[in-house]
Parts: sequence; C-alpha cells; structure tokens
Amino acid sequence: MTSIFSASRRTLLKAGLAAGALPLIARAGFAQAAAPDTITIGSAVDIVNFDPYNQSVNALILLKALNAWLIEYDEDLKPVPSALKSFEIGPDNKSVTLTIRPDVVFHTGKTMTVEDVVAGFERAADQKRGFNLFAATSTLVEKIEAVNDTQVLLTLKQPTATSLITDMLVHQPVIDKDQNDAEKLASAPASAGPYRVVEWRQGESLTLQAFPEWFGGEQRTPNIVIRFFTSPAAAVGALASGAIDVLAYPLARDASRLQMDFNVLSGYPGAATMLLRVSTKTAPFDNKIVRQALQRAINRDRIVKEVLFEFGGAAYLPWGPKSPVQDPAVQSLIGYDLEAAKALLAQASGISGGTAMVSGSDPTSLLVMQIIQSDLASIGFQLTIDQQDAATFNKRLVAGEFGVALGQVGGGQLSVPRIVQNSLMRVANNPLWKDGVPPAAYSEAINTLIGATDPAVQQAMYKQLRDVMIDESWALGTYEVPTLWAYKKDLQGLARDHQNSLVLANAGF
Amino acid sequence: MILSYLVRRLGQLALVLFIGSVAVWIMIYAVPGSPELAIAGPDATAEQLAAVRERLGLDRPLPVQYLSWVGGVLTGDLGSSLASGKAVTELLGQRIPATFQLIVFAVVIGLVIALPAGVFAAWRPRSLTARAAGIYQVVLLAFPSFWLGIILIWLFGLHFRVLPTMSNYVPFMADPVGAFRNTLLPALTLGLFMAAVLVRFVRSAVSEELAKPHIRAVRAKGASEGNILINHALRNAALPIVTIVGLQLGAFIGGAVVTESVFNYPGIGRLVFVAVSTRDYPVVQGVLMFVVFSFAVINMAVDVIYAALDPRIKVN
Repeated sequence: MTSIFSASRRTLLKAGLAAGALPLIARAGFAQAAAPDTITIGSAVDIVNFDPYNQSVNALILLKALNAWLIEYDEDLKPVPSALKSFEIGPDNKSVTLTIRPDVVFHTGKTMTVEDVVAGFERAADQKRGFNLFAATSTLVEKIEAVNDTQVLLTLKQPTATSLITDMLVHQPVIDKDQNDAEKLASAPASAGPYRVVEWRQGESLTLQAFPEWFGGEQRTPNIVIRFFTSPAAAVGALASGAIDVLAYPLARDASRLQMDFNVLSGYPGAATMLLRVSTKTAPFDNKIVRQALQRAINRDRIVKEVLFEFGGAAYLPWGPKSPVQDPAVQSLIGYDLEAAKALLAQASGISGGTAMVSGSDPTSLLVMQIIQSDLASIGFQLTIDQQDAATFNKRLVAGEFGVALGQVGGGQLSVPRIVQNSLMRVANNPLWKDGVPPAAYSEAINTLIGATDPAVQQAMYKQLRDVMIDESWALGTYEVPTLWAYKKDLQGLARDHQNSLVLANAGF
Repeated sequence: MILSYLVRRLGQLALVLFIGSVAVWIMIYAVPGSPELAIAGPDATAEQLAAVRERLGLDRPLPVQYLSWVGGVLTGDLGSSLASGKAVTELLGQRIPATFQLIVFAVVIGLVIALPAGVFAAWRPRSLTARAAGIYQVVLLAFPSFWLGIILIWLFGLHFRVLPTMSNYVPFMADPVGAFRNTLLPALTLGLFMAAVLVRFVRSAVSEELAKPHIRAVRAKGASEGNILINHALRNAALPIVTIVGLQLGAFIGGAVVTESVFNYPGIGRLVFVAVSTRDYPVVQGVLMFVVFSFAVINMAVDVIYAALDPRIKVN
C-alpha cells in the first residue's frame, strides 16, 4: 500500500512539473507565429475552384489576387484599363477595340497575346463553358476577332449602352488559352494576377506567393495564407487570438463585437442585396395581392438594427442604392406597413398561410425570416419556416420549388440590365415564373435598356421597372448584404473592389 | 493457425468493404442536393448544370458510375474530387497522418487519465478519488464535445494565450514541440471524453477481479498491493478495456468531425465534413471506405490482442 502512495507522489510531482512547463513550451512555440511578410486570412467559406468564369461568392477572396482583368473599376465605377493598354468604343456603340498590354505574363510563364483574349471571349460566349460570363457576352457580342498582334475587335449585336460594355470588360479575366477550361482551372489558376498558388490543401489552406512578373508592380506583402474554417466560431477565435490577420465574412453579430479591437472593412454598396424571393408558381404566392402584402410586412429597419447590427442598410429593390432605378418614393409605396398588408390579405380572401424555405447553414436568414414570420402572424398569416440543408436549399432555390426564400443577388451596383445575371431576374428561364417567363413589362424594360442611350428613354424604363417590381412583387428587396472583413489594426492597405473581391496587392503591416 | 485465421478475417473484411461501399453509395445518392450546383453556382442555367454533370460523368446511370468506381478501387484509384479534380488518395494521404497523430495523442491522454483513476476507484471505492472519478465521468459524458472544445480554446487560446486557437498539423517527428502545441487541445477534447467512457469500464472490470478468490490467494502470499492491482487485477481485466479502446479508436477515425471542425484541425473528419456539404461524392465515398476499412482492421487487431492477453483464448 505504501509503495503505491509513494509512487503516486513522485508521479504527481513529475506531472506537476510537466504541467508547469507547459506554458513555457507553448510560449516558445508562439515566438515563431508572427511573420510580417505573410498575411494570414481566415475564411469560413471554402474555395471550390479557381475558375474566374465561375465567380461565386466563395471565390471573392481570390478573384483579384490570382487573376488579371481586361479593365477595372475605381470606387466611382469609372473604368481603368488593366490588362489592356486601352479600349475604344466605336462611335455607334456597336463595336469595341481592345488594345492589349505587351507585358502581361501568365502564371504559366507565357506572355499574353490577342489569341488568349479571343479565346477568353469565345469561352464566355459558350453556353456550356461560359458560366457567369455567358449571359452578358452572349447577349451583347456578335463577333470576336484579332485585328493584329495587339488589338481585338468586338462587334456587338446592337448599339449598346457604354456602362453595359464596360461591365462586360471588367468581368472578363485574361487566361492562358491553353489552360482556359473549367476542368484545368478547377485546381490550377492560369491568369496573371499579383499572386500565384504555391500550395492548395483542399478544405484546409491555400498558400499564395507574390508573382514576380506581375505587370502591376511590386506587391507589398510577399506571402498570403488563407485558412479555411468549418466553424465560424473557430474563425472568430483565431482572429481574437492573433492566429490570423484577416477574417473574411464574419457574421454582423461577430463583426459588431470585433470592431472594438479590429478594423472592419465593408463591402461595396449594392454589390450584394438580399431579396425575399417569391415563387409565383407556388400557392398562395401565385396571387400577386398576397405577394404585395408580403412586401408591406417586411420590417427592414428592424432587420438592419437587430440582425445586421447596423451593418448594411434597408433595400427595397434588387438594385443598389446608387442605381438610377432607385427613387425615394418607392419606400413609401412598399415600406413596412402592417395595416396595409392586412388590408391586402383581406382583399385576397381565404389566404391563411404559406411556407418559407431557409438554409440551415444561414443563421442570419433564419433570424430575418423569423421577424417576418412574427409580423405576418400578427395579421393572421401563418408563415411556416422549412429549414433545409444548404445543398437541398440551393437545388430547390434554382428550381423555384419553394414558397418564399431569402437569397442574395449580385451586380445591383452595375448597369441596370446586368441584374439579369441572377436567375430570379432573368427575362427567360426564370425559375420563379410559370414557363420561365417574367412579366412582359419587366422584360421590355430590361431589353430596351440594353441599347438605350437616350436619357428620356432610360428614365421611362427605370420607372417601368420600379412599377412592375412593385406591382408583381416577386423579388422583394430586404437589405443590403453586409459583406465584411475584420482585420488587425496594424494591417494597412486592405481593400475591396466594386464586386467585393479582396484586393491584397497593397496590403501589408 | 494464426495465418489461416488472418486469411479468413481478410475475406470477411472484403465482404464488409463491399457491403459498406454499396450502402455508402446508396446513402450518398439518397441525400438531396447535387455537386454540379456547388460547382456551377445557384444562378447557373439548366444547360450549364447539364454540362457540368456531363463533364463529371454524373449523367451516367448509377450502377455504371458505381461499377466504374469499383473498377478504379481495385486498381488503387479511389477517384477524384468533383470540386478540385485532386485524387482522393492524395487528399486522404494528406489527412491520414494528421488524424493518426491526433488519435495517438488522444488515446495516450485517455489512458493516462482512465487507467490510474479507474484502478484506484476500484481499489478504494469509497475514497475521495473514486467519488471524483464518478463525478468526472458523469460531467464529461454530459458535455457536448464541441462545448468542451470551445471552453478549452477560450481558456488556453484566448485567456492564457499559451496554446493556438486553431490547430495545424505539425508532424511529431519533424517538430515535437510544435506537434505538441498544435495537437494538445483537440487531443485533450477527445482524450477527456475517452477517459470518461473508459474509467467506468476499468473500475468495474478491476472491481470484479479484486473480488475473485485468486486475488485473496495472492494477497495471502504477501504480494504488494501494487503488484496485485497491476499484475493480477488489471491484467485480467484488460479484455473489456481493450475492447472499449478499440471501439473508441474506430470512432475517432471517422467521428472526430466536430472536434476537428472546432479546432480547425486538418484531419479526415474535416475532409468528409466539407465533402458532404459540397456533395463531393468520390471524396465522401473514399473517406468512408477508409473508415470502414480501419474499423475492421482495428477489430481484427483487438481479436489478436485478446489471444496475447489471455492464453485461454485461441485466435481460431
């Protein structure tokens, strides 16, 4: 018995010494954590692939870091040539001449030629390969041809508004034509951005290194490491402990708390708008009076205050706050008014409830839907919330198989017709409308605006758009999505572009 | 003798893997959602989605896809990730060492806590230590593992700032201190839970042994208490303990998803978590097959260890 006790004491003493040494070992390890030549970014959103033709939200961290684009927009959306030396729009707005820079080198080691630009546009115009770029390119471009060794001529299908042309150019990446294919670009980028990929550990981390032959000059920080988190709470903890320098897309709730100790960078106004999508194929939302009632039951101010913690703002239409479609009068026509909503529901008669679909991985949408649900319940409309896993949610969202659902749209800060890039704003194959056909007045306004250069015509079409959006109420503006980044206060130069892609070339400690 | 046993078990293993692969395949395709949406995005047109399906080979009938996958497996090719195009074997190869290291750390922690606590609690059932072990077991089993993980992160990562809040995989042989720092918290989370499960089994198994006549005989012969506890009681109680450790090991391989997510530890659990959410079928299939295989091998190893521990048991 004695032997056991004496052994235990010794063991305990050794264990105590070991435990006491633990902080010393840990601190010794910490000494090597800080590296001023590296920016570590944490993201709870994984990267699916590196194809810039597939510009999904999860690629926003990388779009500007890895890729080069024909032109760029400044903060006022003024076009600035980037991989192009210049571009010239023909006098009738029916053609564009692009002159390439001679010093653009791809990460594959090849210097950019006009053939790369032509191949890039050809892919964009291909329905099977063009992804996000297909809609704009196929709508606008008739013919793509190399004029000589430095120039490419785009012949357009019709006279096109200048802003629509520059919107197309600003989203056109330059890629080595031998690699410009979804399969090849899935794991190996081949553009000419400021950083190139050194190592990608899928779902874990991505290591980037400054590309020495970048045509834009010298990058301020040589290395970028992106760490992917499956738990947003773990990502917030990593920033708080100093393990990462930048946290991409924190929830507004977390950003509100973090902004005491960190800087918070906000997204471009109107780049992402949260819409309450209403499927007109699903009862009772096939009745437009019910949809109009829903419009009046969204307490946008409460959502901005209680869910978004004052990040972002209320939205009434799918377009951004600076869009020419906007009119202050809209707010009074479709703003929060439960009495008006109740009167509309009474007018619809016999309607007592419907179903809202929410993604289980999106806590913000759930909170927003619960606010709408409680307001509707107070006027006798029972909105049942149906939570789905993210994959099912997206599948049903694309097919329009729901009653109402919250979903982002992008591009509201760009030219007005550009909104059709989003499935629920399409003029054909629109999943929220029977046979995919939205109201004729909407399609007419969009199609007219593509070629309209007369301000009077433009204004008339903007009004027509406002009227039809209010009357048909299938895409209800809810709030401007607060795309956020929280970062260390001693990190300077971190920026985002007009579509919320992170700009890292000038960032550093 | 043992060779024929192993051959027979390997045959059973092949059958288990086949049944497992069919079951996993059916389950994956029964889950709603599709990988082409994760790749093409929610605003893709029907034509674009069809093009992605065609490119990934998802437009083929399910049995054809399955047979194609099985054909690959037989030649050592588990397929490629639908998202990145990387080989599943490459992805597994990156994660297996990380998970293996985490499990080793966790098992060491679990055993270091559970064996002394369980043996002591059996030896002195009314002591303070025995009662503390009982409370520890109840409290730990009542906690969700992610909660314990978050508490550990807050305590050691944010409050004392002595350990990292996110855990990288640092190979132990390359950097023991770095490996220790990065693996300690997730291993502690798993190890504390394992200890809570194990301490109960150790206690009851050793108690049972201590009540047997041969212990009285050994004690009457003047053996020390330490000798009695370790060489006579614990050794004879080892069979159920080995069984539980084996089951825990199997559970850790595929079941550390939450712990790896909380600590951002780059193991197999996180790989399958991400793959399921993006419906990356080949990765899910490959990982689950690895888990089934590992579980079966561990069970086989446990059977062999039985024989080594107890000469009365024959492996055949």
